[in-house]
Amino acid sequence: MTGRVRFALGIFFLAFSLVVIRLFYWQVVKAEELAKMGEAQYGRAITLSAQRGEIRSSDGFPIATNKISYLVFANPKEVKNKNETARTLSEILEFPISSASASLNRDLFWVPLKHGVSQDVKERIEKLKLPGVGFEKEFTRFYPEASLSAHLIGFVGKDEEGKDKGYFGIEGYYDRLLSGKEGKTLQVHDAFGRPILAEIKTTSPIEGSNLILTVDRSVQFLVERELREGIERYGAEGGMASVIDPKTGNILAMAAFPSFDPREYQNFEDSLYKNPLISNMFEPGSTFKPLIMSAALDSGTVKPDTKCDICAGPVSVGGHLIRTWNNKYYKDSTMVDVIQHSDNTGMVYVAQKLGLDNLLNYLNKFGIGDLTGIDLQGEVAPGLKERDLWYEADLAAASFGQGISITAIELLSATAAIANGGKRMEPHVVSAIESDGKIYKIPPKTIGQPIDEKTAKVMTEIMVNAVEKGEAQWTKIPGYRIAGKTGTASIPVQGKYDPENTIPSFVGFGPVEDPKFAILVVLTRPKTSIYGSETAAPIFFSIARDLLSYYKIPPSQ
Amino acid sequence: MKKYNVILTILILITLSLVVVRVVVSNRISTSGLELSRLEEEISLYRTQNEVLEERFLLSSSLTFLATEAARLGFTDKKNNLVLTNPLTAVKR
Repeated sequence: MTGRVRFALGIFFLAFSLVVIRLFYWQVVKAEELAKMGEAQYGRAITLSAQRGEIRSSDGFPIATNKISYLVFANPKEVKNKNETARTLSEILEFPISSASASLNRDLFWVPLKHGVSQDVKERIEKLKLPGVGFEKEFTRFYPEASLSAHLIGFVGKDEEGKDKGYFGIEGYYDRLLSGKEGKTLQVHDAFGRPILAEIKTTSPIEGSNLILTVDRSVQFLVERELREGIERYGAEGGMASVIDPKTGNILAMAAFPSFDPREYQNFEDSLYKNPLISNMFEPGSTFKPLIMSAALDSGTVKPDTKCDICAGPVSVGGHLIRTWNNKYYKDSTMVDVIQHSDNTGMVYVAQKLGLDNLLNYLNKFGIGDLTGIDLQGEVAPGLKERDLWYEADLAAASFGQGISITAIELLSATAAIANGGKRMEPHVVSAIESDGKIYKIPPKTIGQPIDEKTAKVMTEIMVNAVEKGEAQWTKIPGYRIAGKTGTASIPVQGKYDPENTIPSFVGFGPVEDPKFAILVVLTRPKTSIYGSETAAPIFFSIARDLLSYYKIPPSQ
Repeated sequence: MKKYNVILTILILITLSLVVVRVVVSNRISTSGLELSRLEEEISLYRTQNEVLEERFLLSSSLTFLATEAARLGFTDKKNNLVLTNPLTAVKR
């Protein structure tokens, strides 16, 4: 081959190599970028929203679910009569005409007008056949039981990016599980915008998990009804009540007033969103006495028939004079009498016998000062003060539930341990999670054994005696053995105690032969009477009566 | 040689007929996107109707609604349970 032929071949080879390199660059190196450009031309990326999971009561009824709503949008460039359209839409959608007008006059192809529009309103607008107005389907959180168990459920609001987010209660605690995960797909269309049947890349959304609660809808309803009526009857500022199954820690009901409506949470004060049963601290008063007495019995410090040798009159401790609630004193009271009479001086005797170290040890075992671990957002527990900061007067006051602040759920959970043979169960509201067609049950969890079974039985009988013969005996339920304790706690105000207002309460469980429920009722500043035996106790027994009937529990006496 | 010509002819005919089939099928499915779109709209409509009905069903079977309706119809709360703690006399001579 001559040199010129070789040279020509070399040129062709070089040119060919350049073409191949260039092709490699566009087809391999730039492939992804070009594919995306192509997709942008012939395809439209669509976000597939994941439906938020349902929250169902124990009977399977969805107390929080989703309903269809619409985003009304407009294409200002297609709207013919902007003023007329703005006026019509503002009237139907109930928002300012100036806002509608401003949106329709924007130089855009798409403007949102209103979210969460119902099916009926959407149909009304559709009938008008307004050019340039369209609808996009979305989902809004829906609560079929309205404001029932509002504090328990919480609500769904928006986060910084405008996406749905759960706040407070179950919606807040389980937000990630309930939210699921968005998916994405590509809708392919031809030059005229018509969809083409083509294989498209789709990332399916992962739907939110459904939660099945331990809460019984009927029990929740009757507890709310009794509590609401009781608050009105006694002129209280508010109140709270909860029912727990002592054997499993299942929360059967949880109610508090004043409350809010999760459908319109934005119309209520922020302070109402918190669940007071887990987020508010209060001095429990005499409802705390069974825990202290249990501790003393369990440690062997006292026995039921131990006689109090300081109960003949008021007791001076650390410069403070401690009296009984009614200024009646019973010399040589037994421990059974101390609880029956709700005798503060008797409790001081018990606490002094128990000693600070034992008291703190048992309070710790009962979970006082600690989070119970309930699966609701917002639980607080500031803890007990350091041992070195306890004085004699503090020990005395703690024995009758003053000078110590706890949450209602701590008190109920600790008292339920007495009902459950001394075993403390972790309170929880979710019994199972349904995800992808599978159900994952959450088993009950034992978190401690503060007292032994024998002590629990003895303490139960002491509390039954308190119901049968104590100040609340007028409201007890004939034929049933219910254990309980009244409480009338003073409210600390600027270093002193309010002389006129109290936090009355009642805690108890039954039927004692086989406890099905433990209940705590707490009222805030009732006006008709300051005493727990005259306000909280009747509400407690109303609820208990309803529960005994609901669960078809026959009388034992 | 004749055999090879026959095989070659058959192969070419198969190729041509496959090309024709492909053109026909592509032509037919090019507009099926419209049909698909129509079916999807219909499914969406039924789904929406189901969801609206479910919403109404849940509202009307809620305890809140039932309590209101019961009160409106004149039902009252049950009152105290009667507990027989002592044997009652059935017959007395």
